[in-house]
Amino acid sequence: MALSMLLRSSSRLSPVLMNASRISCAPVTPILANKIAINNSRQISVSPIRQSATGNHVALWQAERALSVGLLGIVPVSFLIESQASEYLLSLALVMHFHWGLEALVTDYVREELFGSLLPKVSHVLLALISAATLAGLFMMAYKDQGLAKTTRKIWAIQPAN
Amino acid sequence: MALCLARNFCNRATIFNPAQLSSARYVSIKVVPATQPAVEGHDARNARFKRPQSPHLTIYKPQLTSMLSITHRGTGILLSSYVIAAGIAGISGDFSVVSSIEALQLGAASLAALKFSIAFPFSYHLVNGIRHLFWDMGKFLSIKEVYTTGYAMLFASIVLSLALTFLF
Repeated sequence: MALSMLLRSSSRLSPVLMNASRISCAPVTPILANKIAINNSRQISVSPIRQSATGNHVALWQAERALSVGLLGIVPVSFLIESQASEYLLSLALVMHFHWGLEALVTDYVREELFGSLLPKVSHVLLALISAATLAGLFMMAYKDQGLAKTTRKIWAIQPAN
Repeated sequence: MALCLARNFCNRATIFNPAQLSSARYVSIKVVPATQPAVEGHDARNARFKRPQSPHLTIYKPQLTSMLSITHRGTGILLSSYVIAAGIAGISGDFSVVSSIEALQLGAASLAALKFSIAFPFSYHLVNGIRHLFWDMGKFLSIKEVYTTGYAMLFASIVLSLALTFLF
């Protein structure tokens, strides 16, 4: 009976313990933890870790910024020099950049609260397919020496009819 | 308590008596992981209070900040659609984009409009993208600076797009 009472009180305290273990990372047995929690309750922070509902996005944020800075160099270079390597690099960088951008768009606007549980998932899959198809298409253009930068340069070189 | 239960087993007449059963019942306590309280999202909370969408776009005054922000998204979508169109044309083996435009025999004004429709979203997204990167470094974040860089960005992107359209 005493043991079960102890267990019950430890289960009641477990939200505190869960947060405490995240902070202190000290592996403790439940009964011991119960005593520690009672004795040191003033020293344990129970404020939740602040992060997005869908997890930690720090690495993604940093990668997006790194790519944006990279594009500031990749775009002018691929327009100034004519090479297939720069066309491949431009294709990959642009597709990654617009994929992350449109993904944020889908996440922001195609929400479960507005469109139900199915459509947001379908939209994300569809976007992944579009991005993959675009990357394949741009690579094919680069392979045939008709890359995106070269095509744009040719459009700019078209002379007016009259 | 055990004695109580044993007595119930012996007495078949009273075993289905609910009053006696409840006095003899053992309570087992099991430790289960605590469930985190459900976090109510922004939309769910607004719906519960019957609030309109925030910001209330039909009554909220359009400001430079919000207009430049949504235009950044708009130009991003436009540029993405150009790249996707080129990619889909490429994957279908159609490499005749340039010759199809040439076949239209466009005049100088139409050609300039075509170039501007690419150059403006590109310039805008480029210059405002740089503004965003400065914000990401923690710079120019005061309201005054946000407006100053906003006007400067708008001016620079228009100049750049006109230069790309007519000088190259």
